[in-house]
Amino acid sequence: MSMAPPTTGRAQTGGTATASGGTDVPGPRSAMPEPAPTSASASAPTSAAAGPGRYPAPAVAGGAGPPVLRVDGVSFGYPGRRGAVTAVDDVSFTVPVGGIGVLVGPSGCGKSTLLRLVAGLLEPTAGTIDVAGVSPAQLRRARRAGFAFQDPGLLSWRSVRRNIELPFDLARLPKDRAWVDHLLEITGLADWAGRRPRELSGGMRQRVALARALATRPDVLLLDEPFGALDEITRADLNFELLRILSDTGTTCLLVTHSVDEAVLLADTVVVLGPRPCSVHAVHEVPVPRPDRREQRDSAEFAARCRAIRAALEGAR
Amino acid sequence: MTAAAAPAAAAASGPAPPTGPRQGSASASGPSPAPASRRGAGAAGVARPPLPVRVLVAAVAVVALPALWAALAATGWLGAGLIGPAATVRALHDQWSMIWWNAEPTLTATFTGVGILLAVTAVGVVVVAAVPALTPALGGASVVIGSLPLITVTPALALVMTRGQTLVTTVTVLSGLVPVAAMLAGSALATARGRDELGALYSTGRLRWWWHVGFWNSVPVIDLGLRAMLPACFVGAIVAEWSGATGTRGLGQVMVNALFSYQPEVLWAALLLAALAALVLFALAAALMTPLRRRIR
Repeated sequence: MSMAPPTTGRAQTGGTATASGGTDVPGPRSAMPEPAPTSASASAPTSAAAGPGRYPAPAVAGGAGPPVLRVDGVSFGYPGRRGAVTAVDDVSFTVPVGGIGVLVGPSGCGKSTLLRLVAGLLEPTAGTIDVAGVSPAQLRRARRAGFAFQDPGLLSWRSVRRNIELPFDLARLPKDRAWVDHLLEITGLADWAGRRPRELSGGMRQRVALARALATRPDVLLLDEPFGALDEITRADLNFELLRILSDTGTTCLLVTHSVDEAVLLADTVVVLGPRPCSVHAVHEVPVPRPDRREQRDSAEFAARCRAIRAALEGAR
Repeated sequence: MTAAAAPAAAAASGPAPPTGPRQGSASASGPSPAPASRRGAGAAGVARPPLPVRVLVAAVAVVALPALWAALAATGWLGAGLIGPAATVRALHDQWSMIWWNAEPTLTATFTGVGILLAVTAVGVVVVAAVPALTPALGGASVVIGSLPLITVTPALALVMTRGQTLVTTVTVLSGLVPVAAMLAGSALATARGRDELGALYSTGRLRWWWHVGFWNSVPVIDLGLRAMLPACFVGAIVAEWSGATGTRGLGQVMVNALFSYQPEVLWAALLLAALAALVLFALAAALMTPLRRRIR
């Protein structure tokens, strides 16, 4: 499979969402593979079983359904003494249903700010964000977004299970114990459910944070460098686990990372951001079905994609 | 003696409380072995010494002070005014009925003041969690109250209040109010930690956040505040008596009378009782907070 040519430059920001709901990203989108079933359903409750009506199964292995997450001309500035400091400038991209969008860019470029805008934790100063047909603020009020922050932020006085159940307590929702059991199972934490965070390794704590973000069965999962502090091997393991979990749950995901390898491994769409203020420099599609990604990791195509994204990152400086 | 007894009591009651809810310290590559966690591996990755070692260190710390006291008294360098621990204990035994008769109102005022301040703390932590805008006011109040020299406040209060138990209790509460106000301000900040992320994500109300997260975030602050507040109350009661809040009974009154009638053994005996009472207050703080501290460890 040849690598899809990246689209580069600010022109990309104009070529994303359309009013009809389809995507018109030139280049890479046309190289998307034909829809293929996910490998998820055999091992775990399917999306429909897990949450009736909430989780349409991913349309394709790489996620090529209609856009569920549409960021359109979004800008944001932090208030400062000498006026607003622009952190995000006219950013546009889309992520399809069940897809994984990955944001890569230099440190401090505003990736986390962008994620917080999508989560509704910040309000854009210009542009619109549409998540599953609603605004981020509505999404947040409806508790339909999950967020795993850079720091797992687990509560030391709660067991692993009770940490995962925290969103139910915070959102005043009835606890879905069967779903929590399932999350414990798919994150490999079932045997650790009664343990406290201090008894877990860094990777296990990240998995708890991931499970907690998935607890309320969000429509969109937002991950802010969730594996940034981990060693290479643990990180790779968790990347594959994340792919499996997202396939199992059919959740759409937007993830921030500094690692190009991680971006290519996980993403259906890699959005390369320029230096502060954050703007879209390039969008790369990764048309590799998720079940094949472990094998693809050592392939020439994988290396070529990584090279292309590194080149885009260097070009964005 | 009271102040000197405090660190020893703190050492005896366990390690310093954590500064915040702590994360585990295990490496990224694998879980912490259970034995390490049972030994109480701390957040910084430094395992605590085994229990016998900790008990031994605490015992040495407790014994060291009287030993130094005895050694210093035996040298006679500080004159006949420094009574050794054995003579002090003997004096306390001989004069027990008189000293206890005087200590009763002091201890009553202290425990009444502590009770009032615990109630203020219990209500205050909820109020500042619900209305964080009060935090700057509390910080300012603690600075203003802390700037008042208690020894001069008592005579001023005696102008407007009847001298006696109520006045001593009032000064006791005032002296404990400084750490309580600082504790409440710190508690408000600790409570809010993380609310702008997880709390905002799930549109969690302030009180709900406090109940599930904020209170536990503020346990280390409350722990430190209580440890500072309890002995401060006791010091406040004694200082109030020194400056004539009662004029008749009180441990402070015994100390002043013993000083002016040159009865050093009675003075040291009263001091020893004050130190023991301070230890009891520390034990009370530990009994209140240890289960909570263990839970957030």
